[in-house]
Amino acid sequence: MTYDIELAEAELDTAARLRLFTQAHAGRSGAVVSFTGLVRDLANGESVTALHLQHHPVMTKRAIQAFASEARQRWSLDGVCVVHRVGVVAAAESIVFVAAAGGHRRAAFEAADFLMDKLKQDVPLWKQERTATCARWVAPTADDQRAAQRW
Amino acid sequence: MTSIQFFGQLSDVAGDARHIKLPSEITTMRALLDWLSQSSPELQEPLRQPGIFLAIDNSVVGLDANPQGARELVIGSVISGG
Repeated sequence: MTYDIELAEAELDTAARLRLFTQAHAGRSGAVVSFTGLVRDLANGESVTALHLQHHPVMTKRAIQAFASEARQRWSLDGVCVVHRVGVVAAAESIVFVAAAGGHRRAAFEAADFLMDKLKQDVPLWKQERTATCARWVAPTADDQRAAQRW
Repeated sequence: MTSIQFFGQLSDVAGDARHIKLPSEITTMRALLDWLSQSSPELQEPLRQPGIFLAIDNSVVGLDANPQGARELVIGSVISGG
């Protein structure tokens, strides 16, 4: 079982991350599922220039590790990778990369879905949208809350 | 001295951190929020928002947790990562 949990200030090369993760699990695992979240350049009809991600220096990474561990046990995964950007993330850049490797596709799909819902709802990260004229904090949507309750 | 770190919308109003001597009568996080609201009226509304995030020395806690003796307290607006 491999864990790769990281909070990154620099831009993510998600293609390289996925290639390395896949290579690390090729042979033993039957499925690798990955998800990349991108910063949208439009919100509520207004252009978004960037997101600012606030995090706690200890608790944020610890919470991600705890959910990765929970996913590993729940779906008997071979590997998990979670990389979340912190600080300022420009529009169109990747904000999060999640990958799960498992024996079969269903486990890998569900684990990646679970991890994304937990990142949205239960990991101490605070997201602020920046536009040309203002900055506003983002609250979780009703969809986010419903999604997290599935687990 | 106890450090209080503020996150999210709260940090816009309260600043990133405050260092305080915690009064001995404050034995719950709920009492701490009330005390902060009284001493800083601008915090009253954001501290009443639902889903507020609380932690003592790197552990997530609820409103009844006792902050006495803590090195660091965290108070954050509702979290929104991903």
